[in-house]
Amino acid sequence: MNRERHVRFVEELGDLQDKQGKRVSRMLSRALLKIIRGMERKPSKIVKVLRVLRRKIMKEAVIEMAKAQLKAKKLGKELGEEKLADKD
Amino acid sequence: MPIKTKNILNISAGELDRAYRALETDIGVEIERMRVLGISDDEIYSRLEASLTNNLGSFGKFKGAIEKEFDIILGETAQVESNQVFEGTKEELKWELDPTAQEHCPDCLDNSEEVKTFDEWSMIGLPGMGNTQCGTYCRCTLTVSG
Repeated sequence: MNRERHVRFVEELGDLQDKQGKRVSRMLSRALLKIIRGMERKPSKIVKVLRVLRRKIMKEAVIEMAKAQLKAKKLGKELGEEKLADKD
Repeated sequence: MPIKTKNILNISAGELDRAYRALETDIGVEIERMRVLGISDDEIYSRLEASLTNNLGSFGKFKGAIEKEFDIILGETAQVESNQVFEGTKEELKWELDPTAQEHCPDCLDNSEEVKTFDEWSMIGLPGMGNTQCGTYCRCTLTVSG
């Protein structure tokens, strides 16, 4: 496997990590903001509502994580197949 | 025992949940602290909203934890997939250092001088699996020697 291919893998992976992590953290921030803004300026309710909605919010985050993982899998698999092909 | 990407997802999902629970606790503590200081509910609310909008305090910590977990899971997954093509083979594999890194950890430097089979590397730790000092940030890879 040549050096350029390895460099490309590292760069594409870094790009994927950066984009997906930021995308999902922004998504979660928006969800939290919606919760807080729905509390009619009553902080006492915030923690309770966060707790009640934990499962729903985290389920969405894990779904997004699984989708991003598929992209990472593809990147790794392509590199792996090329490494194997180089052997022949 | 080969590492399955589904297991990696389960671990990361657990970490996301832990980060969210920590956020709940941290916000609860922040609210109580402000109350003790005599801050009004209206002001507490405004401060929390500002913290979230600007990713400060507990919210900033939560955002950082989420992004870190994405770094870990995506890095580990890609590395697992790229190296497991050699599983079950008897190929002699060399440890190729990350060509983009300015410096390498001592473990990767040591490994880069070795040639081993997949099973042998699995015992030591495959690239990116956290067995080296650079941990899951390792972007070295295995290639066929020769």
